[in-house]
Amino acid sequence: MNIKSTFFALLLITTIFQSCEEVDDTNISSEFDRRTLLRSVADGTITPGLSNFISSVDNFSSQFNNFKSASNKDISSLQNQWKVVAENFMDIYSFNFGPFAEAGINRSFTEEVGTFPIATQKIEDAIASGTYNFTDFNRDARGIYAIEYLIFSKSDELVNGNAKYLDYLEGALQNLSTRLATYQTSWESYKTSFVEDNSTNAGSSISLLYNEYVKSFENLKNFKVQLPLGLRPGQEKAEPNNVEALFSGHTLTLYQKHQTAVKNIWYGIQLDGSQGTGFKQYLSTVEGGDALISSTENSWNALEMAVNKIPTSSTFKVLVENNNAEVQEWNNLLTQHTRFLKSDLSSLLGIYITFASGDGD
Amino acid sequence: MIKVLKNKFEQPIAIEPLVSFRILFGLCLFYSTARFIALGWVQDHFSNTLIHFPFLGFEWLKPLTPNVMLGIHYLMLLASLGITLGAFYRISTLLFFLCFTYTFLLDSTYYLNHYYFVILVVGTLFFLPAHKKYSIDSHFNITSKSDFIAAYHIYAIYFHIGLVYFFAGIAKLNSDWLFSALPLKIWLPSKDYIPIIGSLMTKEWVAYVFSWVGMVFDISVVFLLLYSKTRGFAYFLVVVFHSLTGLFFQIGIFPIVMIASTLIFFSTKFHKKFLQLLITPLNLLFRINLKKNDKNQLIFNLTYSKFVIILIYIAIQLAIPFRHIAYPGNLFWTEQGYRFSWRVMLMEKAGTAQFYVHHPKTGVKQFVDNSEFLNAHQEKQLAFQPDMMLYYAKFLADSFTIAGYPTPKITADVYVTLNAKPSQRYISDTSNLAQVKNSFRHKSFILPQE
Repeated sequence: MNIKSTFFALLLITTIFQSCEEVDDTNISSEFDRRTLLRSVADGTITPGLSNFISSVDNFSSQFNNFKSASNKDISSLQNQWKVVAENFMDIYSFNFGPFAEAGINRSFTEEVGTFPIATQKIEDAIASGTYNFTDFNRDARGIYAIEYLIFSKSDELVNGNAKYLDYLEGALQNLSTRLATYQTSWESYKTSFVEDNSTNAGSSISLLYNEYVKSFENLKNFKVQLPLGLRPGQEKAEPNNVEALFSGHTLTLYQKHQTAVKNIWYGIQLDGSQGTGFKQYLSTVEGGDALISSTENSWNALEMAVNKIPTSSTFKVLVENNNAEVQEWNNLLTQHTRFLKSDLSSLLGIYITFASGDGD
Repeated sequence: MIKVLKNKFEQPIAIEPLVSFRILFGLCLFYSTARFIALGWVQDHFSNTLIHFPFLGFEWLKPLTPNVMLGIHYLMLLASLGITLGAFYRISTLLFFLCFTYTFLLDSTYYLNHYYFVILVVGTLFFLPAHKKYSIDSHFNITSKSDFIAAYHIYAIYFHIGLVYFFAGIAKLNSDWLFSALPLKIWLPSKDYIPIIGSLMTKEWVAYVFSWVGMVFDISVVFLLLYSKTRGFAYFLVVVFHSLTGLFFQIGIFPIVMIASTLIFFSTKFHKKFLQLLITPLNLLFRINLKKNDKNQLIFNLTYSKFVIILIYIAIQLAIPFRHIAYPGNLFWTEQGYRFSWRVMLMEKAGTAQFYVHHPKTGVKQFVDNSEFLNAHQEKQLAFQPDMMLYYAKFLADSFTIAGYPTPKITADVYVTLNAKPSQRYISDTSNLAQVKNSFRHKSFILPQE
């Protein structure tokens, strides 16, 4: 070896040793096992959430059967049960990956099951003509919000035993049950591989979960709140008919439920309220995590307070029409909160969120 | 001194290393293009997007129809084969250079240093006589044959490889990289699932070792490759280093390109053997008759004008990575002068950009949903690169102009996190971005890093 190579070898060795001396054997991260998080979400939220959703739909179906056969029809129990169904839906709103993802002609789970706003005219036309199949592309004429329309806005027809309306409702209900059963079967077989994938590449379980999680949060902000408020570019005024649960007026309840569901995933709180593992626990093991936890928690609290401040004296639809200040404020806080979930979180966790190649070294 | 350098440039040198390089680099280009097509990226990058983010000065370049874009990539496949086989070599290199540069310039969100490297190298290959042996062109006498080339023909490739490593190494000389092991301290723990070495990735000292070794490797490897006694060891390092980064990070074909390219540093003897190995099976199949070369040009006169052009080119390449000095503020934060400087994998940066269109009639601040206009990759890149924000603002202003009213005002709340530091506001939230002209001048709407 000549002088030059000796010099470089020495430089290499000394720098290695120097940098080793400066630090002890501490872990940057306490070897966080992403599978713990995946299992917590899968077993603690998705599986029971899907079961709850399905059993509430089943319950709704049996109540509908009673309703149909009763001579003196009372729709209130169906209406109450619908609220349970919709609330359960919010618990599994954030997981449009794997069997719940868009694939081929199928849209995502939330779109297949709960598209809104629905097309009331389409529904009325279908009912009038008696030709409908629930398998075509008219997602806005089926799903839980089509059912909502029928039992809240067309309750008179149902109570009066209008067979055409009853048949449509029954068909929509059956279709929903069939779809949910398929989702449940696919989820059960997908789950095993989902919770075993500890990697962080694009397309890994954690990346899929993360991406859909953020999308769910953004959905709440962009489509459920900003769109009705008329706050998207190109809109000329508020479009209150675009709120979720327009016909029942349970909008705010569902929005709160949606926000809480997203928040609980972050905190690692499972459906039964028990403490599991979420993004917070993962963050606590990485560089810069503690600071982000603290700002995110502050922001969650602000969001919670803001949504609770929204008056319940009138429906969300009416609040939107009147440009309600509390709703506006909540929207602003949702917007400010985005960065904590979107860029800050994925940046610290080192999750690849897209497939594109990065610069190589 | 100049005279000595010129003489050194003109020295005859065996052609084999350059021929090997032509073949291997051509294969890399072929593989890279085929992969790009197979992954559906032609459509994703150029056709399935509403907006493209041009490079400053190339705003006039637009993507062509989807089929033409695909056709261009098939043309590149063909051209890369032409380069490998030395078939219609000049046309092939020129064609590849033009097509690749065109696609590269269409959208700056896809900027990668190794794409830029490919452009420079293919552009250089166009001028080099890499097809004078072991090629279709020389076999069929389309070009004259030669066993020798001028030394500067090889140096040209050395120089470009050297640029990549050396400047990548220099760029690592910053306190975050050396004294906080950032961003590796963020990236490595997320690789703890990798078999065998995975558990090491969460150790703090490993992040430091990787940071320092990476820096020393980048700065020194070209010198070690140049020197015959350390060459074998250096190449071993090249293979290990790029295999590791390829395993760890989503960096596409870059590791293969560098592992293939750096072989050029090996001796003529090595490359003669290598080419013999390649040619033997072909010989058996096609009975290729490697005729003794009739014309061996042994004197290479480099005209002074050519020599001066080469020196100017070298000077420019050495100066470009330092152009950031002309801008105020932290380079990593503002990214003014960041690209085209071989700054690779240096920082973990991400942002969230909420753009607002101020309704021209009512003045109401309306919220832009980026995913409505951008794909996930564009959205991610836009959120921390100021020039892209300006293009996007113009696009939004144009999209939401109402006849008879002034162009809508565009503002944005942008928060950026750099190397695990808490995110902070990145640009002035009152600047009307639609009215800010993108230029090489300092972008004063960027807020300083706290």
